[in-house]
Amino acid sequence: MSEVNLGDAPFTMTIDGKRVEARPGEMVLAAAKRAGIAIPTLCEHKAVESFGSCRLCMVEVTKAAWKGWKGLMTACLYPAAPDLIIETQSERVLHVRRNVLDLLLARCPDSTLIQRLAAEHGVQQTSFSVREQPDLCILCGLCVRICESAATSAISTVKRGHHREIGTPWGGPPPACIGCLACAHVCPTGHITFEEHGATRAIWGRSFELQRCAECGAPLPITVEQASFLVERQALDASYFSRCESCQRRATAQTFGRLARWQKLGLTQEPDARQEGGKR
Amino acid sequence: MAETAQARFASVEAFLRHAALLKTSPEATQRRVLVCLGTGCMASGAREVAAALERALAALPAERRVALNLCMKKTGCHGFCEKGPLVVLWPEATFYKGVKPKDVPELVERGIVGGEVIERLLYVDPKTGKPVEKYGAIDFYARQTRIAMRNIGLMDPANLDDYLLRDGYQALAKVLAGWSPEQVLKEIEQAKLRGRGGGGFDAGRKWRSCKSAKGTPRYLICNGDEGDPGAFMDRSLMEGDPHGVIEGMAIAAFALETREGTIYVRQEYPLAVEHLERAIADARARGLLGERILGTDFSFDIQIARGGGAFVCGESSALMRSVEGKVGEPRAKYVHATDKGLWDKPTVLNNVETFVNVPRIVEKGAAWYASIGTARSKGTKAFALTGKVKNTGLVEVEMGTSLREIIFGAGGGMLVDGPKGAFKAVQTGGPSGGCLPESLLDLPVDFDSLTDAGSMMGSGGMIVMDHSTCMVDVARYFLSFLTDESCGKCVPCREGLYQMYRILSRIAEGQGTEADLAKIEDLSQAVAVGSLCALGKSGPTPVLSTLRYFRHEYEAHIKEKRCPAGVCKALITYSIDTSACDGCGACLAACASDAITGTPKKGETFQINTLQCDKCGACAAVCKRGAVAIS
Amino acid sequence: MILRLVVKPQECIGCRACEMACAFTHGKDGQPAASRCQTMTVGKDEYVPMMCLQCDHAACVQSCPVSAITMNPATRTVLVDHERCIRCMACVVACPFGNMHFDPSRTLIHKCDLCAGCGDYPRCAMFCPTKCLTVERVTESSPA
Repeated sequence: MSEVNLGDAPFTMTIDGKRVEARPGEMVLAAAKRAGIAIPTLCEHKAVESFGSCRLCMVEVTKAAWKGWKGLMTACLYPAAPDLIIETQSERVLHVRRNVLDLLLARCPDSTLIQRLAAEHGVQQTSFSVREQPDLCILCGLCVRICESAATSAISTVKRGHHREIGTPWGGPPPACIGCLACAHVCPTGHITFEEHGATRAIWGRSFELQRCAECGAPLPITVEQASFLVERQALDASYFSRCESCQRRATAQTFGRLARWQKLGLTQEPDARQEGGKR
Repeated sequence: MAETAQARFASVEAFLRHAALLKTSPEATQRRVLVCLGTGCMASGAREVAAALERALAALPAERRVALNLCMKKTGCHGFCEKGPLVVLWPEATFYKGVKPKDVPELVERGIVGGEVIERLLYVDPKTGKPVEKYGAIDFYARQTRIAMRNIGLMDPANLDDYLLRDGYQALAKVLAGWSPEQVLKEIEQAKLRGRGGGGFDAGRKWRSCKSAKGTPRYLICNGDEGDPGAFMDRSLMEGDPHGVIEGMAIAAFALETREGTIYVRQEYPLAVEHLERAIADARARGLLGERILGTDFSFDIQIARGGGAFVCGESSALMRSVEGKVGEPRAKYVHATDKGLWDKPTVLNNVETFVNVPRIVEKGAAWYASIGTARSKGTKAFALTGKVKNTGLVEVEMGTSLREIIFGAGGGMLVDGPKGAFKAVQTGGPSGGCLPESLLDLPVDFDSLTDAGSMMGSGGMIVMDHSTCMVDVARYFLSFLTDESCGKCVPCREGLYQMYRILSRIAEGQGTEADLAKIEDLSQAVAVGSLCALGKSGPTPVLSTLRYFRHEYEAHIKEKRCPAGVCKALITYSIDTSACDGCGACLAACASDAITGTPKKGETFQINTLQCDKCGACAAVCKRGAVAIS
Repeated sequence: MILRLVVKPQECIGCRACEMACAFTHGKDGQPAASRCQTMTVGKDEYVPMMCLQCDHAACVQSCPVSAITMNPATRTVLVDHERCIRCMACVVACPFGNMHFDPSRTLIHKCDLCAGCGDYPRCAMFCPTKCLTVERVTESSPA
């Protein structure tokens, strides 16, 4: 499809017989979502670019001008365009979805998310050979992508085909990991786990010290490595990540209390709430 | 030979003058000893043969050498790799095969100096049993129409003047002498050239949509990541005619008005890289690449990118990611590469064979090219013919040539005589292609006919199978290749092909059920439409095509627990036919698992203990009397 | 229309009606953890209700590695896109006023959004008995 200059004006297309408004540049999935039409996804997350690997969001796409030709496309990557006619529940769509979920169930029989999605598509148990020693990883690649875009590209997919897995090129814990937990939080099946005890956090076989509050010494919810990474990446002052939430709040409250006291005594102006952020 | 380190051609006229002069030079009339140094011949010892020839020729008295007006050329692949090392005498076109270093003295003394024909080194026609002297008289070559491969084997790929002697860079000069980019585009469109990489997409249309896409710069990529097992036409072209690739790209670049080109060469092709690098450097030095080519305003240069070593990197979107230095994984192509390809800029990607055709089209005209081939597939196609045929190697034939003509004409027919050796199927299109049965032997081969028949053109792999091949086993083999080579990004390809492989294994092991057959068919359909890239989408083809044409073999495995070809180990037993056995004991010595008992003595015979038997087939292979029966 | 929540701590009597209103509006069953507003005791009978100040150059916005926190230019309200948020906690630590919160029971970052999408009128102000919390509507985009 060559890119059509659509300008900025919204346009309409048809999804499951319903007129849906879409905006230039957005994908079918986003337009459907806004219109309240549910399309299942597993590898989609707003914080990363669409990937098209789970194949669950496939929809059938056609146009009146296409003379009956219909294509199966992933809604997450297919650009919305005027006059598209989209079916999200056609037999062809459901056939692919059923097979994808059946295959994923053979891969991750213990994932409650996959179980639920499969059951919703009439697959109660897999019809394929279940993987030996299954885990919860469906290889959606969200962890790798979020690590690339929001952290340090510490993890990647390694090996090919059926041997593909998430890890580091030479095995072992990822040296570049900063323990930010973004991977764990975007993981749709809960495969990536971490532990936190006191001021230590453990993930990917590595252990991280948590940053401590400069005032009370309590551990902050970010690691030392994460703090320095954020300071550099977001171009911020190190003081941004030096004190805990309660100390910050208490100090602010006391300032405001003092101002209020003065106000009561008619000493100064009303405290202006809209002051600049950043450190005092 | 003229030095390639000569001055740049300052203008198109200067180039044409030099090319014309070259044709009247002594070099043009020299007698040539062409030694194939393609990868295939090199593997069978061509380097030693070349060295011995060089020494022997150098040892000739000087006045003899002059009188003979002789030169030796190390050429690219002749395509008949099976018969290597190959030596051809030109212009008399005497073709010697299987030349060993020890044959060299005789070859020089009698063959070259004496002008005799050395019969024992000639190719013997398997049909007539008679030796064939001339290159062009050998069926393998006589049945070919070489357009893309026209230079290979007949010149030194590392020598630019050699290429010029074969009308090299004439097409580029013609274009630069006054064509407009639009004119080139129109010519390619009218020639109806289709991409030789697999998809068969109209090259002219591709170039046109890239040119009308928004954004600059535009990029040009030549896909030399030929990964299909057994296929090596692009390798031969890059190794044997590197200037042909460069010239084709330069003309494409002129049409697209782009300055930057990349050749992506498969990791395993070091010789191709070497030859391309040399050719690029030579072309640059002579003003045929780089700034202001032939003194015109057109500038274009080429860089080489080494492949990532993965089959999937040949997929265009994965290839572009790999060039960008990212992981070579495909991405969805709803926005075409011609709009957003390399670095998200409009990009044209064609394979090696496609580019090599371009100068020929410009030279001889679109009408000439469009007159060759079928209605919708023009020109020729190179195939890598392998398997159970007499002549294996690279075969370039006109589009529309029948499978029968390729296999029984150029291919020389089936390798093994007898019922077991009769034709059973031909697999086209590489690992994700399909298997076609005997009933389709008269199918005219082109892009569309193969697709309609449930297979594909692919890059041009062609594997011939006889009745000793089990189609379930074949499907399983290709699925195992694809399972390994799948990048693993999307679910249907990664998990689906793997599960298909599991089901095929079950069937081959006699554990299959009829439900398995229905299951694998259903899954194949889902993988074929649900996968992200062409590798996954075509992955089920080996299964679907064998199911379509050889369903009875699957059924025999499932219902009768029998492998008709006697291949699937779990379903066969070895026994000794006592009536045929002469008690030589060869089987006894060959058996690695002590499953054969008996005493080697005339009149005695042997028994195979089926429980002990590994079914490795070693006994059957050594038995000269065919007394080992497989059932 | 710019919405501005005006806080006059001198009027606060520490009744925590604002916290209850907030918790019931934004969380299930009024769990206190769901409240984006916290009343701090700063002296004898001196209280300060604390909630997001909707800073113009907010530290939370600057620290977010996935740009999940943005200011709605029309209402001048700083909002978290929960679908984009990766719960890395950078904003929670970065806020110099301690007004970004993490709700572990729902694994959500939350902050005062001036009840955007929940009636679009701060519920805390609605329930404040002393007019310590009031709402101002400003039409022109006046510099803060």
